[in-house]
Amino acid sequence: MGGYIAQRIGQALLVILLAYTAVFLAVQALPNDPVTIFLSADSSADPATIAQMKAYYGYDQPLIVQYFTQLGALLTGDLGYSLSSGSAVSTRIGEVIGSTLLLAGSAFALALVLAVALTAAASLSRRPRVRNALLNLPPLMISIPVFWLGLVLLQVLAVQLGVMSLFPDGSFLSLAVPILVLAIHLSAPIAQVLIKSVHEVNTQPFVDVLRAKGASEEWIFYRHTLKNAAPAALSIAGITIGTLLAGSVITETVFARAGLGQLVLQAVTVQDIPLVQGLVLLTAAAFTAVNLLVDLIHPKLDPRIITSHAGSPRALAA
Amino acid sequence: MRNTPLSLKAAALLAVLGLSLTACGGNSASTAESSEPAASAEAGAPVEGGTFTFAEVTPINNWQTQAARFYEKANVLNSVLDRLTYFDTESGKLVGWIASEFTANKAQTEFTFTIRDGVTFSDGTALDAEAVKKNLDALGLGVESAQIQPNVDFSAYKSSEVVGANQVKVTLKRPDANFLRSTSSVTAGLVSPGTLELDNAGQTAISQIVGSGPFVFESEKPDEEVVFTSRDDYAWAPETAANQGDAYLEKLVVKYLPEVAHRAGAAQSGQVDLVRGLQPVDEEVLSAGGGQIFAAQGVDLTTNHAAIRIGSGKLAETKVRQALQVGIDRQALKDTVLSDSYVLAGSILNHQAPGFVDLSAELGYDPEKSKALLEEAGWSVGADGIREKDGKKLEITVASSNNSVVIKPAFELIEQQWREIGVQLVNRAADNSFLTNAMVDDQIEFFGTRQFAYGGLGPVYAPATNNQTLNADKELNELFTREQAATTEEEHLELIGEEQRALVLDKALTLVLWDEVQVYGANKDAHIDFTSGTAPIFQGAWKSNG
Amino acid sequence: MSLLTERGTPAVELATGSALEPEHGATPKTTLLGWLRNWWVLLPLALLLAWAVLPGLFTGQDPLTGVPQQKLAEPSLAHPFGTDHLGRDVYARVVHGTSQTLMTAGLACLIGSVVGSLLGLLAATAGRFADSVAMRFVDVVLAVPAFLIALILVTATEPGPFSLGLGVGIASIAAFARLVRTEVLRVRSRDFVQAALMSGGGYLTVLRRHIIPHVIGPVLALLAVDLGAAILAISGLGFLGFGSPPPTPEWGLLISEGRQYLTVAWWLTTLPGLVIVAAVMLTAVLGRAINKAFRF
Repeated sequence: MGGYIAQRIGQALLVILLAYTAVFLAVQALPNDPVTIFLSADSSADPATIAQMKAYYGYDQPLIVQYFTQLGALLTGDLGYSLSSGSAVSTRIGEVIGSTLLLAGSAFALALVLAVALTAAASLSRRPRVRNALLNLPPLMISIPVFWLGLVLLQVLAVQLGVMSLFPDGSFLSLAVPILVLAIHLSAPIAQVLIKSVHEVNTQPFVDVLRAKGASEEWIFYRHTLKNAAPAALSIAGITIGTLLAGSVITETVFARAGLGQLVLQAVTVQDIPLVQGLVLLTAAAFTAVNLLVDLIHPKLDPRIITSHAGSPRALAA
Repeated sequence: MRNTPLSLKAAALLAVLGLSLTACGGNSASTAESSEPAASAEAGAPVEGGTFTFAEVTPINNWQTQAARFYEKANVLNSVLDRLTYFDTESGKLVGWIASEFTANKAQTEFTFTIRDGVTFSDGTALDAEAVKKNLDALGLGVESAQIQPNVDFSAYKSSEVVGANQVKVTLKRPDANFLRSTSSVTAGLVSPGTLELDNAGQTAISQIVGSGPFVFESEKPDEEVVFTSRDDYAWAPETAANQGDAYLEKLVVKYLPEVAHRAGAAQSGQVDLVRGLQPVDEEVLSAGGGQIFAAQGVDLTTNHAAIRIGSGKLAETKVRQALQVGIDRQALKDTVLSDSYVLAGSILNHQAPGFVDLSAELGYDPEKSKALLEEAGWSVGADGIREKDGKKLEITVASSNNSVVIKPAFELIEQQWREIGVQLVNRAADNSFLTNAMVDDQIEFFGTRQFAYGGLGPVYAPATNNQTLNADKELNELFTREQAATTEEEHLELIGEEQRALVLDKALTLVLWDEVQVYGANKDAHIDFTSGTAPIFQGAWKSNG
Repeated sequence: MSLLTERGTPAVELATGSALEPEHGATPKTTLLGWLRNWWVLLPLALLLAWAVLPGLFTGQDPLTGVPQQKLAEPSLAHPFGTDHLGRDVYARVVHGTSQTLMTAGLACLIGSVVGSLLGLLAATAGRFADSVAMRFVDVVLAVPAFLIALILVTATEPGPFSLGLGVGIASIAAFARLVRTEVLRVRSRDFVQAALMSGGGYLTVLRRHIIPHVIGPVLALLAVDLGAAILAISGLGFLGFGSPPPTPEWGLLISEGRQYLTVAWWLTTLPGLVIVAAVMLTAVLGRAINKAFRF
């Protein structure tokens, strides 16, 4: 097991490095460099000034030198300087990461709750009509654009009814509504997997045995079915981490919240390459770490995995 | 005043009404309208205290004071930093502020400022002649240690010296008749000498920028809000300011509301007292709901226009550009995508700008003339209805920022109008990431914008790297040099007139659209006035409900 | 907009969500019947296709040039979806926007499915090393926020069917790769495939005869759902200001641009929004139907 963990950590680091490198190369395709962009925001920028500033920030170096300089700086914890905002990349990320963690973390937790609730309601409902309606909820939840839902809720709650603030003012609703909007979207795929897995577990003989023993449906569902269906949902949940960031961009834009999503959008718009790079590193690390964790927990929930998919427990995720 | 809320409401309503009426009048001086609410305020005593919430359209992270002339920055810094001079819209004259007196030599190469006594920065440092000299050096020469570039309006700056106890004498490299006006710009705001010694990160952080203005930084939530408190000992407002003392308000909170659709609702419901960037269709919604509309005229700015870049070659011929100039139905723009708050442009300068000449007679919509000019230039209609010449289609692109609420729909309508004359417009207006690159790409034919023109039209259009045309036009530049060297006011105004004719008609390097105006939505209880640069004057603002 | 980053993930589950209609266990025999039973799905989808191919048949109004005097008119008989801020008929814009929408989303699906399937096939059949390389590649694709890739692509080129399709398409590579890999591994472990391999059948022959036919069903099912997801992803990009320039009528842009007039003209964003919701749900049902039809 120890060797397995070391191997997985090694792979995770490799993935982060590759992601960082891929984006480093991708941003070179952008038409301009941060210095030119930054200086041209004013009425005019003189080529000599641009050259001088490029030299100062190291953008005049050959690509390969820039890459290794950045990589070297990374090892000392230096993410570079964000010219557009006039502060260190780490400062800029540090300022807003809390807001995103709060939004995304809560939305993720709520999404899990919603998914389990939906699954329970659908699985335990004895009326086919109700059941069918519930089963069709996830596709509907996915097909409503997040920004549209957010805007309409704001329009109704904040402008027409006046019960919530248009701004993130720390009040309950101004946090709860964005979380709900994001969670609705996140919960749909998780619910989908749970419903499917629950169905599969239900067809297994041990459930019939339990029923024959006189166990109630509710008891079977919570004590056995859900437990057995959890691993699959966990895999999906791990992958959803990447989704969270994208969801955050739109949610943060709609609700005028500070956050990483806003920062990504801003970084790309003004082509602030160090900021883009810092954010990629952060998200890649977060994604990889969470999935590593999921992989390590997985066998504990379902010991069959290691044996049946030796070396690649993630196969289940697909 | 507290006993007469009804009459106050009536006054406010009248002010708003008057505002829309004067705006209807088109050419009538509409600066007066923004001061009317202040006039009504004078009728009753302003209420002291309270927190005023202002919503900007987008957050600002880089607060460096002398670069990037964006509204979202200038609107806030206007209340944090004082300047040497102030442009009074009512009289159309430059008046004293931190400089109690200012003089220029005949050749417009030497300027002497007499610094007001007793002014201090909020960190306690004296705002004296020495501090002013340090600021002028930073503006004119940049701050190399902090990677801060010189202010574009100060390109003629050579040096300055402290004369006597309280005077600063500035020497320029070449004459600049607009130099004094440049010292009234928010981007020429005076900061504490301590601020100038900070590194780049320090000088770009609002928390570390120390000014002498009526409001002082208190706290910040990055990307969400900045809070300022009133400075109680503030006693050096511009000479003509209605309020000569400290601000009536206790606190100023700046927030951000990027979603256009919510702005009217925010002001109406009182979630904000003032919001910038109200779109035309929401003006009616807000006034019907009891809110106020303020149309702040941008006297300090050029009109909204599409500056033309000839790099792609398609617009290299003057006739083509002139064809496009008369191919725009400006009245239809106003009727469809603008509102009565907007005044159609008569030139590249707005109607109240010193030296404005009205060219509107020659800007009338004339699609037939347009077509004829295009034919003359050799662009004939192709199979798909788009004109072509030498195998190239007359397909041209416009870029603009998304912070203006009307510019994208305006170009959508222009796109329709130009289809009739066989010109295809690729409308990339309001696409900020595209604009980022278009700023430095002369293959993008149009930059839809308006610019602060404190230093006159020269700094906006003259340098080879100017982001309007991205090209230095020799004849124009000669004209700018002559204008800057003008020794009498008549000569100066005359030359400004010539510049406008050259830019708009003879060379047609800019397609002018409408006078710059910023439409603000306000709650019914807000009382506020605006500068000639459309910035809210929070020092004179107050709320009926405290 | 989870679909932006991880379009494939929910999509896989929607497509293979067999639990949704457990009562009708379909067998190949009932396939045709099953298809006919789905007429209520196929008919509207056919209508959408017709909109894309022959928009002129369904509306006589000009989608690009409006009548300014009729701006922001409420839905009426003349304008079933109302008019926009320039007086253009919104219904005409929806109908004419179908082809652009389907083209962009279709390209995204094509890129995702082709590249993803090839990767998955490679991983599952070309040995341990190839498997490891392909799957690490997939991890990298997942680790970089896909919408960031889309933003960079659109900024570096220009927003249009190609760059948007490519940007959004990359996001679903991972899902297709994982799906195909799992399915191939599943089929390969079956006795008949093992038997075919042992009886000396060439690798390609076995692949063509035995493996691909069994994998094609889930892939098609995912494809159908992915189409809906791509439409939403593109609309999300439009919302963030990374859409095709006007006056292009495109579904996602219609709702994202109409939102500005939410207070004065609800129809601008709501009615095209309902069309998208309907289309996405229909493709989800179609995906399920395909999956069922191919199950054995």
